[in-house]
Amino acid sequence: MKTVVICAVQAPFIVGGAEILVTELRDNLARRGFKVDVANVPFKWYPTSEIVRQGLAWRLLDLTESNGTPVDLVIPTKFPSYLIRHPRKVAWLFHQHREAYDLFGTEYCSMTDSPEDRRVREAIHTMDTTSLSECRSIFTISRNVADRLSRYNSLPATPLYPPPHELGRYHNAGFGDFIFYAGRLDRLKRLTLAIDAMKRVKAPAKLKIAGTGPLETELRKQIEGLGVGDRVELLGFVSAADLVKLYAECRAALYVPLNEDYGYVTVESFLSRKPVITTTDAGGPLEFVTHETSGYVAEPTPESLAEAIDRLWQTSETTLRAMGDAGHGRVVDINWDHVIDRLTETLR
Amino acid sequence: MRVAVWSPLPPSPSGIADYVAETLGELTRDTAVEVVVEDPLAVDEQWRRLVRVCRPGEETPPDLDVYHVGNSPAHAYVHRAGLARPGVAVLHDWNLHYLHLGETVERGDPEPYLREMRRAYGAAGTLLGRQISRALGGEILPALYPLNERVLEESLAVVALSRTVARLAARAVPGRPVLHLPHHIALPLAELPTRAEARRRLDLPADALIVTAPGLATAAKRLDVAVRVVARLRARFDRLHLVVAGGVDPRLPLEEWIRKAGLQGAARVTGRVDLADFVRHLVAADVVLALRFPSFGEMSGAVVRAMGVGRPVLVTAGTPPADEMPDGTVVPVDAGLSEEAELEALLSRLLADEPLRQSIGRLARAHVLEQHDLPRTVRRLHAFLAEAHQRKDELSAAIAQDRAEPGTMLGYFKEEVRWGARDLGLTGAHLGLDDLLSDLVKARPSVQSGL
Repeated sequence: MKTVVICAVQAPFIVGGAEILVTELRDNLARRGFKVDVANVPFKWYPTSEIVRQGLAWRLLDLTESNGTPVDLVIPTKFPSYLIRHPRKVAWLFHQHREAYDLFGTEYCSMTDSPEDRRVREAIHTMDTTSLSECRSIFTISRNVADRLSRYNSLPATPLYPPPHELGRYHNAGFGDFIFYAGRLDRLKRLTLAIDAMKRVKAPAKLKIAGTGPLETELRKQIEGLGVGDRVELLGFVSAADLVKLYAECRAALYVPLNEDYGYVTVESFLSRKPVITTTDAGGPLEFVTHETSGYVAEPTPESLAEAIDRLWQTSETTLRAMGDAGHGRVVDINWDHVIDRLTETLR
Repeated sequence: MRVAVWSPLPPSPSGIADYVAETLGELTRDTAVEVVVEDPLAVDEQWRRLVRVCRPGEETPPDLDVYHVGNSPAHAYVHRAGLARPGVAVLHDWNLHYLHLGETVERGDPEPYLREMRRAYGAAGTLLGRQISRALGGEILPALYPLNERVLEESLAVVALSRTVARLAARAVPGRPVLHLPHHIALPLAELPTRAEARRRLDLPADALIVTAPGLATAAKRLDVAVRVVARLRARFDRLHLVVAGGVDPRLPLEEWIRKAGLQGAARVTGRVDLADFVRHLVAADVVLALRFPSFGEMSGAVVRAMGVGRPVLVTAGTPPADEMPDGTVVPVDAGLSEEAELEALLSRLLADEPLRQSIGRLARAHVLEQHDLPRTVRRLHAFLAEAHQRKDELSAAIAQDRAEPGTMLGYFKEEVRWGARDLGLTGAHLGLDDLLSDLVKARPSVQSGL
């Protein structure tokens, strides 16, 4: 039995998409007959001065064997787990430390242009380029992540899309009177933009938002301030069954993050045969959504987004169904067997 | 053995310059000595007659370098040389924070200072370095972070002038030779004057009770407290005078303190004096005041000299002079909340009791003459240098192991990891970081695509 160790990065008390994805990868590797375990090392990304040291912690570990049993393959996932040394390292890259790359210089970045922070940034670039270049293969969870790797580190990578959590249960139960978002409530998801748009929407559309996160209080204040409480609903945490039901009953999904790595929302919506409204700078979703074919791609402004939502309400159910089917065709081949096949092909 | 001694020499205002000059006569008996200074022509002629004095880079290739390191910018060139070519470091201060600040922040270039704080103290160093570099650290923060780690790590051997510093150094660089060398006593007068003669020569009142604070007046010398105490004690001792025998830090409002306390007619601030007059002031004193808080781990040359002329010396409890001199040879004063009251009580007791002053002074002088004798200490130094010379190859190899080249990415990575070990007290542990980290900074051919 071949042995595999998944290298995960943990922020204690936080469970998000990456953590769930690691768990599902582990379970699917086990299902396919691999002896698998997860090596988790905590990571704290602030203050900036500490990032390099925390990254180097991975470099000091030896995962070539465990208690006399050789480890045949390691699969690092995100920064800084790919600093691990191993003769057979195949990365499935969720994302790099984006503040050192595309987010640098934006409002979403805490790094400054001070000499100290510049040194840290330069170190991250060096560590990334070198340690990822040690990999037998680099897969990424999206074309967007692969493109960043190519642009900033000159490293080629292959997109390998992760299947969503409720694969096999998504379905279409008709086109209801609401659009739907599910995910963490944090700044990069730009829900403030979506709520702003709802103030401008003329159609009798509602927006339901499922999930929790640090921006919850701010979003509630915004909803109250704009007087859209009757149109925007924060559902908080919802169960897996409710999530599938909400996708099944919504008119479309709304997903407007800034340069998202991947984004399950798009895939889950398409698997439910529902269109997706997104923006021209959303990153990952743009790998799947085709404007006016499987959804609408708006400019990242409240006005443009409101216009897209109004158009959705003017679209006939037949056309909505055709858009959902087109989306479904884009994601139907995303499955775990394909993922496991690619990640373990060097073992064959 | 040919030795290059790196240190300022008189008339440099550094007390270390006097210290080194005093040792030269003894040291040159058995050793070929050259002294490396920044400006040889500025050195007093008597020293230039005794040894060859040269600029950095002009020294004859020595068997061993001896670096006298002190906590002031005057020693920056010594510090730099010590890092470039490992030798024996003589630590006159445990703490080198002001040396670093003078070389970096005070020249408008805080980055090397911030890097050094990071290297030495990790996350706390980064945070505190920013504060201190913006003059928000007060006196205490620099005192808590000695910034001497690099010089310790890069030295073949360490000489400490206090037991405290020797103990700290031995812990910081386990396995490296460390010598505790008692601060020698040197009195540059052929024959010591009597108290009356000294006062006549210095134009001090013959019948006064004199409390003398020797050396450069800085905030750490607690002179604000001393001025208030002396002013109050004049109600009981109307002939009491305070003498500050040395220069004054321009940032110190000493004159204002004196004026506020109403001590104008009973205080004298001499300004910088030569070594002979400095010793005369110690002789002229009834009590010597050598408080120091915060301490930078130094053994004060002024304390040793004051003891050598048989005067009772008040020192701050918890500092090397208080901890390392035998009981009864100095008088410790607590630096805490009770400092002022304690100083007043102890000073009052000493001023009222001449036999007690004489008794303490006799014990102090006897101890210093026996344990801090100049020829004896220089002989110990010489033997230690000979040992370091003998082990030079072995010690140099130990230093080269795991050395992190400053300014390189590999150096940065190594220091980031080594801090974790340093924080655990494993300064000397070989971590094999070259093997683990050097690959990270090598340019690589492009990766095999997964396509």
